This record gives sequence, structure tokens and C-alpha cells, in this order.
Amino acid sequence: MGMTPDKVEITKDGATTTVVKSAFEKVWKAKGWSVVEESTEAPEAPSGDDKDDNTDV
Amino acid sequence: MARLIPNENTQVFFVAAIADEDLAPTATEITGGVNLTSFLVTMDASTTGNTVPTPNFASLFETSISGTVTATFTAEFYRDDEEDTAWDTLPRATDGYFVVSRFGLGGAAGEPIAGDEVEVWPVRLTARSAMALTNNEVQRFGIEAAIPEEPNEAAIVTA
Repeated sequence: MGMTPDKVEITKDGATTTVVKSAFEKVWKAKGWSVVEESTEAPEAPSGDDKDDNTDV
Repeated sequence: MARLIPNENTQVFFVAAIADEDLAPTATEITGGVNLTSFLVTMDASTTGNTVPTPNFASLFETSISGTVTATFTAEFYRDDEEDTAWDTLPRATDGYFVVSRFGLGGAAGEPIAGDEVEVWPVRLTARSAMALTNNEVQRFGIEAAIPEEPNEAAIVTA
């Protein structure tokens, strides 16, 4: 059984689609499409107002 | 009215995304795609309707009703040792849309404009195969594609 090529989600002007990675590198990148990055940021820390300091007894 | 050959009339684009759910592309979506016209040798975008037999004992005539419809998309393109655009655009498993203008586009330089009629064929490439190498023949490749949703064979380009 053949292997499925790697695909990437790409976006331009609010439109998104999925293409094969090699096609993105060779064709769509030059046309202004960019890869939709997975969010790697840490979850936002709770603000001071909402902080629960667990001091209740 | 005129009868036309595809040469210098038909244009074929491969478009990554079309936002409209009825597959009416915008001019920008088409021009943001890849114009494959100069690589194209043959193309077959066609539908096949099925009929369901409904004979009955009251008649010798075997009646039928309309059934499901299927579609296929196959095409053949040239390879190019410098700008291998068609080959690079159409790897196996690629999703996208072939936008086909059979009779030409309305822009002054042949670009799509609002009001142009085009065919939109949603595809997922199932095969991309180099043609057998043959003495004294230009190198080409063929594609086969599944049609994951109903094509729009009379889409009107929007602004």
C-alpha cells in the first residue's frame, strides 16, 4: 500500500485549504499562501481579579 | 454562435480554495490559483447518470427512472525540466478545484471577471503518473481524481 503524502493546512486572505507539503513549497508559497501554524503558546494566566488563592478553609 | 476548438479558447486553473458553498468562484480566487492551460494536453471532466429499471408485468416496455450520478476527472499534462508547474501543483492526495473556462474569459487580457461562466470541479487527486517514455515523444503525465462533492458546471464568477 502506498504512503499518503504529508499535507499542510494553508491560508491566504482568510481562506484555508489543505495541500500536499511539496506542492505548498513549490507552488502555493510563492503565491502568498502561508502555513496555518498550530498554536504553541502557553494558556493565558488568569488575571489577578479572578485569581483563586485557595485560602478558604 | 461559433464552433470552437479548445486551443486559444479554453483556460484551466487549479484553485486551492473556493469560499462559496455553491462553488461560484471569485475572480480573485481564480487568479490566485495556478493557470495550467499551457501544460494541458487532454482533459476529461464528465458525469455519468445511472438509471434504475422499473419493469412490471403490465407492459412489455421496460421502464426506468433516473438514479444516481457519478463524475470523473482525468487529464494529461506536459512535464517541463525547468518550470514543472503542473507536476508540482498536482501531487497525489491534493485537494482543490479545477476551474474550466471552455470559451474564454472576459477580461481584456484573458483574465477572469465577474459574470464569466466557468465549470468548477472539486477534486482529490488519486493518482499522478508519468506517462511511459516513448521514443520521440514529449514527456507527459496523467492525473486521476475523485470528485468529493457535486461539481458546478455553470458557475458564474463573482467580483
